[in-house]
Amino acid sequence: MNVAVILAGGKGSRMGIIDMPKQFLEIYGKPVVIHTLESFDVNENIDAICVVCVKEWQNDLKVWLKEYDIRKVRWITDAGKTRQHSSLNALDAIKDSVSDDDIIVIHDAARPLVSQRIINDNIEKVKKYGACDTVIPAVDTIITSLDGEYIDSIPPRKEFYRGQTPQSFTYKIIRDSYDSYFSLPEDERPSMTDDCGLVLHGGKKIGLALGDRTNLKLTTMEDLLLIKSMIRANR
Amino acid sequence: MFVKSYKITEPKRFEIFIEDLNCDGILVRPEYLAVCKADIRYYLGNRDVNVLKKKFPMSLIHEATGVVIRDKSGEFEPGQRVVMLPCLKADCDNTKCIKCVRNDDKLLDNYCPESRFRSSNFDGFSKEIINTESEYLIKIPDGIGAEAVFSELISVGCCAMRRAGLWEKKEKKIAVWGDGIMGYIISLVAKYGIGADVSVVGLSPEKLAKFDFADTYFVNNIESMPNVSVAIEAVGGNAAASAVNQAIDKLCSGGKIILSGVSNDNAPINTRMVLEHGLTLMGTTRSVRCDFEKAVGLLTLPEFRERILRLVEGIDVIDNVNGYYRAFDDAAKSQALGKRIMKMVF
Repeated sequence: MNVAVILAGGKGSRMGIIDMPKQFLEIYGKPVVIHTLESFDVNENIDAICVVCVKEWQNDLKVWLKEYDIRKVRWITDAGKTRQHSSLNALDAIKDSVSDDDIIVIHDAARPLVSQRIINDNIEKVKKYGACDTVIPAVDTIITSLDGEYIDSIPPRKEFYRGQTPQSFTYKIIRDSYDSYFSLPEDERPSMTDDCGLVLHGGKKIGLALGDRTNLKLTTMEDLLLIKSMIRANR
Repeated sequence: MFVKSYKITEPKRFEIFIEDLNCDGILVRPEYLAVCKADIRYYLGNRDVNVLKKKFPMSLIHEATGVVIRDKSGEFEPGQRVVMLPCLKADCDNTKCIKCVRNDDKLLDNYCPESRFRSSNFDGFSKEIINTESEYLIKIPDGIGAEAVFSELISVGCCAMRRAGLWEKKEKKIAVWGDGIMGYIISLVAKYGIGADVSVVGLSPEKLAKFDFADTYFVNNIESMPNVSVAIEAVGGNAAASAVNQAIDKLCSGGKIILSGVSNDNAPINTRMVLEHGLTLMGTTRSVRCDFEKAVGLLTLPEFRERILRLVEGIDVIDNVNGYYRAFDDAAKSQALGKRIMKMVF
């Protein structure tokens, strides 16, 4: 079984909107999280979906799932205090329904432009490597600066990629990585911004799946403007 | 949901579009696509500028197969491979025309002025996902692969036979002018669909050699060709006129010429002989569902399918717009009888 985990637990504080997390903003009349869920709901290779959602929005989410006829959502679980806690909540929610070899595709609700090709590539790469991250090659020159005033180095660009989501794993790999991470005392856990960092920390190899420059993450108001401007009238 | 598509916005310019797809119907992922001469005319800008302005931006391609990814009605299982039909019925109250053609079985929706046709006055199949209805899908039988993309061309041949009443009145001798892909496919339909002896007139010895199921004649040497009662013109362009005039000379009295090639210029033809021999000239283009059903049925015949397979020049995986450009450039330059097929990955 292939399970998509959609992370809709963010507060969206960088959007400057205080009463609504970014994943619930509407783009042309439909919440962002629904645009994202639709892409996974129609995908031939996704069997079930778990949505990690902030508690106070779960009733709205349930109404939207009916309104937009999203059929594959089997679990709605609470968001955690960090991204890692949210992913862990999802792994706990699905644990009785999955086996070690099942594939877990973890995706940000705030990336509504994910393509079918990216989802399918993730699943294929997990079959090959056991774990994969969606990336795009860096096109800008990367600069490092430790003090924010002067350049320390200009590393070779070809070694750099930008990480996107989905990030995908066999259930065993992501479960073991989380169990190992959370077995550490809280003050000894390294800071991680995503699931792949945690799996890498656990010593596992992670393959690369090619993302897409249009697979934008809605983080700021400028991103909302960009995404809305990319979508054209249907005919 | 948001889906990507490639649209032509001006000659030789494709752009990536992202649109919010209505998901209320059957969702199909286009799988194999083939470029048609009509698509190439749009790509190269070989149409009137004002016509192009009205049509662009538009997704091209009307020859396509797909894979059903969701059908809430349950008629199609996910994973079912289908041929997708490009002719869309008109939303018409039947009051605009003197006589509605939609119930005339020699015409049908294809000739309704309100009908839409993908990649002509409506978006074609160059999209990540198509939202459609069951009447525009035909299941592909097991054992038929990428060659099913030729169903549209085969259906055009089937439509020509339907228009001329040849399915009912099985003609024994049919002559086809044209050694291009349309001539090849119409000849195949005449041979294996109608059961006729087929004579083919062409210009290229290499292409004519591939018509191994028919008697072939070089265009400058058709004296030995027997007279026929049905001639099909599948030449188009500037050579259509000479093809039609040759056909007029080879037809028995009361014979019929079916015109299927596209010409932009007027064709001077020998109307005196048309009158003297009481000939009928009939135009045919495109096709509707019943023609597609015949086409897919023909593909289950081993001899027919084997000869359609010869048209597959190769399969190219198209996973970005650069590959899509290359496919159109290659198709525009190609002199081959067959086509390269695009396997689409958005």
